[in-house]
Amino acid sequence: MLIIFCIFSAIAALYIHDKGVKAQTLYWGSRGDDVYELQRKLKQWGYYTGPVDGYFGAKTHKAVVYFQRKNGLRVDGLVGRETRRALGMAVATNYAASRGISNRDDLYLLAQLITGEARGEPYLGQVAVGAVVLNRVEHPSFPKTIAGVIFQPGAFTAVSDGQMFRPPTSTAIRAAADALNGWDPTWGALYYYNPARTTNRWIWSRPVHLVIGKHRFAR
Amino acid sequence: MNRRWIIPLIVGLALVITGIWGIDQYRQKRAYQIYMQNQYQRMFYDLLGHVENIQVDLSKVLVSGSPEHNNNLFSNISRQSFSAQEKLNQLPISHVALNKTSKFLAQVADYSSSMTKKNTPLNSDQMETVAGLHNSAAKLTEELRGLFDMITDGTIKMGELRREGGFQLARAPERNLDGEFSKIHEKMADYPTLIYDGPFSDHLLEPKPRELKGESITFDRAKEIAKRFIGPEDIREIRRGSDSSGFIKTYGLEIIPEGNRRSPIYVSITKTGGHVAWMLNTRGIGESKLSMEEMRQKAEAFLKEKGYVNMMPTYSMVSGDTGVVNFAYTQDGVIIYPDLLKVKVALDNGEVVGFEAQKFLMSHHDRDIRKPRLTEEEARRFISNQFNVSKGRLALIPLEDRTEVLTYEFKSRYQEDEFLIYINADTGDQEMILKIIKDKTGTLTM
Repeated sequence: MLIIFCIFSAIAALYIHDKGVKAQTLYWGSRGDDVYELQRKLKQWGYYTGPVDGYFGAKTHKAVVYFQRKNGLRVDGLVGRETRRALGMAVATNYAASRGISNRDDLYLLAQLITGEARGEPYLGQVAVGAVVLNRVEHPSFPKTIAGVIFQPGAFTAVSDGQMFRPPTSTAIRAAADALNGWDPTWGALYYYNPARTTNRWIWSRPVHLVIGKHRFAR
Repeated sequence: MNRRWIIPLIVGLALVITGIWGIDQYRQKRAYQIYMQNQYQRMFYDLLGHVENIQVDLSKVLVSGSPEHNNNLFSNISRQSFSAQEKLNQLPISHVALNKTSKFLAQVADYSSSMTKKNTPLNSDQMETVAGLHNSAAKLTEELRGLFDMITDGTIKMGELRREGGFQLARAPERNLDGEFSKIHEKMADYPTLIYDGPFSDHLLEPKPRELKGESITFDRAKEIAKRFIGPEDIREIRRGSDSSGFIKTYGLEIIPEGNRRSPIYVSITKTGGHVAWMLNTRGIGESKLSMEEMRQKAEAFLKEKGYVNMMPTYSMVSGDTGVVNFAYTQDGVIIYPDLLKVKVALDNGEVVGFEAQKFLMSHHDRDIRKPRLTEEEARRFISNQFNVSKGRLALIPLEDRTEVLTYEFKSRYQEDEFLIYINADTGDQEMILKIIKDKTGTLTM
């Protein structure tokens, strides 16, 4: 998901499955996948003997009427909501047009983290911290969402000590937006650390991609 | 009244109040601790349950002969592993101790979901992979069960949160969750290398750039390139910034414009070929005056001037006082979405304040594009008639596994919502659906 997000990142992309939008009333003359499914089901249960050809013809109509009579449904030869449900087919959902989601919440969260972690660092260092979060989302060793990465226990000092729960600075918001838009000064770094502060030997062993301000960025 | 009693009385009262307050605080702290412990316990228990199910389902795949049945099993496994990974990453364990386990779970999830798309019985390679994964899952189950016993009998306490944050990890792991997970980590090291076509396959984790054209350049040459790229700006100083040695090696430059010492322009230039990888101008931006259309024209003119040819603006988005315009490369009239450039325009005067070509540099090359087997009309028939389909054009799109596929892109409408539907130009398979979202803060237009 995120790889595609990067590539089409200006369109806040959202997958939808076309299952939900397909369901509709079938009647004499209908064609398509739904009719195939209908005929297959009717045939399976012995209501229908004709060909499974995706065309709602006389034989299909007869089978539907037979099915409805047998199952106490309204006998109208139409495959609507009730009949669909009885047949175990997808039922049309009331489709409400959605104004969509935006990445605004992610932007704010990322900006909060940047504020907490890299206030006082050069602008580029702030973009780099944002990029590290996004690189982690794309890596299997880390959670798959921005919130998951940020709130992973012990991952960021600013989260552990509550520093990040303040309104983000305007610079950090800018930096977060640049990172979300694809600017990554670190070229894929997954970690950063302040060499004056950390004693962790493991992190020192990681290959360093670049140094900005007080932070070393590593993969 | 006798005044001598007043002070001891006040002190006494204060002591009692403090005492009550202290007990209350202590109770609260205990309550939070127990709450946390319960949360972590539940997560751990869930984790164990998921891993057990993964192991069982993987073993079923090994003995099942029917592709349909396998499909079900694989979709179960992917769901379970996804949840397991999520739970694992919420436990208070350092990343170092769990990153291999986490990676294992994410890869199992992804591998399984890629297998659900296959409708053929497993071949011998796939069987071997599944067997390998099953063995690792079995080992992991065993370890987690052992851990669970230690948690239930109180040998390990999970409520004891690690004090150090960040990467300051426990020095000598004793009997704590972290230490125990470090041991699992070592055992997870030898699970099979996964080569399959999902986004987390091992061979995809280190993206390799296409061969960059050109010779190695010196820093002085990079300076000239940067100067030319920035344009006629009065430059006070060019400083050496941070070189990067990630997927592509670059020189980092910091350009200080005249009279504006505090907001440098950052430029990153590849050491091979001297291509501009990205640029960011951090100047303050005044009141927005440009329209969307003007913004796009400025961006387009900029690219043309810098010598990027065959770039087509695809999407643009305004956020705050800047806008970003996306450009995709076109070859023989086909839009090549993997080759993407981004231009950021300041909305006060139309100056270009950002440029990003990192993905472009990683993926751009001359492609051999065959004639598609289907015509646009034939491809259109594969779209559900519920959609109001308006526009079709050929586009090369990247899939999750970073391969590229030639498709017809159809702009379609369903009631008030707009979608882009990508139909494989050879097989008619629906490769992807994207929803176009226009929101209040960033207007997304074509």
